[in-house]
Amino acid sequence: MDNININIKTLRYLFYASLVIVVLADFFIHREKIEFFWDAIPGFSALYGLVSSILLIIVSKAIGHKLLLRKEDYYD
Amino acid sequence: MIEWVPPAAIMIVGAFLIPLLKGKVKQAYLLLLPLIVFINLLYMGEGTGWVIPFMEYSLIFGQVDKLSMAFGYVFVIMAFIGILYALHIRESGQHFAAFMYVGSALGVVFAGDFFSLFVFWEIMAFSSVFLIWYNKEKASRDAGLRYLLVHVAGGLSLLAGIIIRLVNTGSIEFGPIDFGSLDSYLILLGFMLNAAVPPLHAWLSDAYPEATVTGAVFLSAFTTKTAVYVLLRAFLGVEILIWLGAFMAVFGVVYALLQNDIRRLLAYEIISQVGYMVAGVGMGTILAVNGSTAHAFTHILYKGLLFMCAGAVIHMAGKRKLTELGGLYKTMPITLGLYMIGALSISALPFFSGFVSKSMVVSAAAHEHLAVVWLLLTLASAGTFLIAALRLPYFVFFARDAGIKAKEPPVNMLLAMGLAAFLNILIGVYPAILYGILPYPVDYVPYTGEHIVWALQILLFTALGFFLLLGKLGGEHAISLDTDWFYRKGSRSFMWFVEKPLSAASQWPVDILMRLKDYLIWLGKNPTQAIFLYAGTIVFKILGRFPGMPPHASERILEEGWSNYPGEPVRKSPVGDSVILVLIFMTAYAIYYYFVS
Repeated sequence: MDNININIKTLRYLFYASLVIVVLADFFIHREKIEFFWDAIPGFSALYGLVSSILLIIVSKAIGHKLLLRKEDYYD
Repeated sequence: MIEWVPPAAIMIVGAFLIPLLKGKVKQAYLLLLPLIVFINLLYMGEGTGWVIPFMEYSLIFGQVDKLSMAFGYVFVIMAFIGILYALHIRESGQHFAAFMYVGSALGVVFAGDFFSLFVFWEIMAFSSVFLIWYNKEKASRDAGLRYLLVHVAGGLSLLAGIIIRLVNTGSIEFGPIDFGSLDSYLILLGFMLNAAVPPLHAWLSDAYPEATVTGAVFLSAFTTKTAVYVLLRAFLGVEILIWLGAFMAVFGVVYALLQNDIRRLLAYEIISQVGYMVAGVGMGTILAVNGSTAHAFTHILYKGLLFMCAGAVIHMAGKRKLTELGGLYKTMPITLGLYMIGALSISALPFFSGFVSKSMVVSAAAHEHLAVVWLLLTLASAGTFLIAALRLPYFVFFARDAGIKAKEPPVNMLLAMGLAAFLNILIGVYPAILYGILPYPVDYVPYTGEHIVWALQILLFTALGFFLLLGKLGGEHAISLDTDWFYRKGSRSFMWFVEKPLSAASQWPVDILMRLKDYLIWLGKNPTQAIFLYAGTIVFKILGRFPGMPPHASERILEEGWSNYPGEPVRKSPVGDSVILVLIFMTAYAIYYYFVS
């Protein structure tokens, strides 16, 4: 059990490290084509990914609870 | 001369032999048939073959070009994988339905005319529904029937479009269609229904989760991708498809987040992924067409893999909901590993198949400077990773231990899953084999530093969002309403309307005539007295008494008259009764005649 906890802890640090590394890398990467203005902003896609996921979860669940979700026997 | 045969013919004719075979021979035959079709594919040269005169038209069973070949290859590969996955099933009927379904899908892909296309289109619906019905539960029977009815309706729209087109142009050739006339709208509607474009999508998420474990694998591959193929051939550059596709991609993700049933979750993910392909059709550029084709190709492989792994969980654990599952990583680690390969492919992680195909469509949107479309498709990418690669595996294989005693699935299932996983990685690592068979020469390089860093940022920070909001993401004991509500509840309103107001309304004339009959019988007992009674009542109402009589006595006489009716019929003059009746009818006739003339 202890082993698993240590592993999870290690994984968590690795995960945080990879977040930092990938954003740092975006500052140094060579950009060949810029189609939209945000293509030039380092870390934009990190921000967009984070905002997207949080927005999707909150909005979907809100729509679900306000409007769409019914008991499982609703159609029976 | 022609040294190849239409693949549909081999598949469909071959399917009829299945019920005659048994045991190992049957298993060998099932695996052999897709192999024969594949070898046959390799001999098919581009051009138009198998043109068969039919009345004054030509049926074309072999319209072969790079587009139809790309779909042909992946359909046959998936047929092999799917049948390997289903090899342990003894019922010949299921295999027969599956091969009829694959065969008719191949028929659509190589059809060069609308007649044969329509016939194959209908065989697809009528054979695939058995993959749902073979699950033999009430939910499956009901969902299968709804699936069939919806597809028949879509087929009718397509047929109406084909007939109008034939009348207007005199041609049944299947090719690019000018968008803007009634026939093009009807045909597009039929195609969009099979592509599961909202609001015509609910048949998919309604029926696929109720199919058999092995049937759902076939279903996930063929119907929607056949629809993408016909859209690519007929409706390139129809702008509304860009927006419908982008909407679809996000719509599927939003609904997938609400699902508790693992295969229903994956079904909504199909809708989301087909959204990319539909958007690609709408853009219609070379990059977009290549992207849609490539994405259909990889989608069949990774979605088939996901459905196989979800099916393996359902098959071995006997449960199908996130709320009932959990902790399976201990007992089904191989399934988990293979599932993750499919999940990372659909999420477009670098070195997995989705990365080299989905990004073509997204890049096509960027090249066209469609900023909103690009943002929506990227949003849907984040959502896909969130749901398919994090939410589902977390709650099925980790989270709380549900204490389910499950083992790894049978070896044929594992082999099929392994083969699909291998192909997904192969395409991801070595995209040239996929790019080589696309409709146009590919001038696209997926593996650039900026693209990899871009994708990793999106995915890793989506994972961060997942862990931050993990508490909100578990399955819920609920189902979500969708557009199938209109026919599932709507049919009930219809039945209520038939049973209550409509049948009551049909009863009214009967009631009225029955009362009229009763009245005439009553009147016939003593018409003379009845008329005197009516006359007396009218006089009494007006004057308050009879002439020459006090009111009190008048009232008593009248009451006695009514209560004694018919009393002793006045037999003094039976002729008189007849005369009075004749007079009544003649008066009625005179009045009628007066007004009519």
